Amino acid sequence: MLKYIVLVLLSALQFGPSFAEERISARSELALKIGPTVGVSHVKARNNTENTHPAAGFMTQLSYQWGRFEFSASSYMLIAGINNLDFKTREFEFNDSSGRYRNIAITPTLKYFPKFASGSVYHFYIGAGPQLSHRTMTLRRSEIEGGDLRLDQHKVNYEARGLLVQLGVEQLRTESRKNPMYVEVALVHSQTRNARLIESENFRKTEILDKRQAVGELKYFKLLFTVGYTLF
Amino acid sequence: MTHLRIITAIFFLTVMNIHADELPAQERNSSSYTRFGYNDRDHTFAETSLRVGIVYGLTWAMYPLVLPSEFRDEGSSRVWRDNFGRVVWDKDSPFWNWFIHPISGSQLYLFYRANGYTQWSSVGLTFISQALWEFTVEIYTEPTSFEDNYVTTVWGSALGFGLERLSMYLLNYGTRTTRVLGHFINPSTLFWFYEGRVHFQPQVDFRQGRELYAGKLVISF
Repeated sequence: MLKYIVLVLLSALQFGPSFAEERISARSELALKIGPTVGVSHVKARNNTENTHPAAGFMTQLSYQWGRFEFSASSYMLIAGINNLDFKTREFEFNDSSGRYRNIAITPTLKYFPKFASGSVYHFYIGAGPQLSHRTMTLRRSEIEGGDLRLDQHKVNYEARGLLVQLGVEQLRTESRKNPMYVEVALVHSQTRNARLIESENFRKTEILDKRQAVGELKYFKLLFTVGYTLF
Repeated sequence: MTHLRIITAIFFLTVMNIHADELPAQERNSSSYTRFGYNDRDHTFAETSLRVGIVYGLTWAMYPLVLPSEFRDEGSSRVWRDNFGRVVWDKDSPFWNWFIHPISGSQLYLFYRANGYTQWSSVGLTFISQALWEFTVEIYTEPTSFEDNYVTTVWGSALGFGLERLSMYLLNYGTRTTRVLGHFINPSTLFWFYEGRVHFQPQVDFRQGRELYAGKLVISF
């Protein structure tokens, strides 16, 4: 298996042509990229409860490519499940909770395209950046202690910070290939900073009932796989 | 005389057929044809300022009309002053953050595209227009939202790009239904400021009693 992966990588690189080198070194262009994302989300919460669930969504990137560097403002929109988790906000304890959470994360990312990994068509890159995100729990089932809350009217929202590292391969953009594709694998580790209890009875208006610090209350580890292309 | 008339008619039919080859079947028997597209051009600073100003004025005019209860009950000049410069993560429902904001951004993008701006100029102007809304209009009732700035500009432009492609396909397909659908998803193509409409009107002028036959193709923008 490893042999075939190495062969595919080597054939993708097609070492040598100077055209690609000139094209990458000279580029200075903006790019808007989009692609579906799938992955695995691992959540660790209070009382050592933790679980792993599939996550799905999409990613967008607004990038400026400058030579071998690329700066991008990336965003992930993901939905993932949770199962039998314990967590807490204000005086309320949510035990044995199941449902899903939706997550929007914005990541300023710096990418680098190493010279040794650039071919005539494909070039590999590595990137990293801080991630700011917030995620809202929509619970289907939970044993709530500490008060009278209704799962269809109240939600818990967490702000989280973390770090993203990524590895990807992208087609070289040329006059004849204006919408190059890319494939990317990203690892994200984040933990919560703040928690809010919100009332969302009316979809037009959300009311924040309480806000408090929740440093490290939930810890996330995500492995994300994206296949996308440059729109323009 | 008759031969000359036949030759002239065949000539114009051929010219029209060359054009008709590019047309959908529904349009081939029609005497006129409208082609939809985008013409990117340069704009003066005054032109751009006028368009951004019109959009900005419309946002102030539309806000109390679209959300009258929020504007009346929660808005005030004091709230505006308190919220000025504050940027927060908002906790709005997915209906707003994942649906309304991207659609608003896409229509802003399509508005600027219809006015002849390039794709990247349209992204930039979408960002300016939505930032003016977020930082100076919406703060009348709530603080500026961090993710709304991103979602409206980037998701909105990406969605706008998709709607642009789809609407051009539908508009140029030629049937009445597809044209209605095309205008529905890209309403900027209905207005006078849309610069991408080209109208072809073949005209053949047979004047009896004269030996000169004139033919012309009228193209209007």
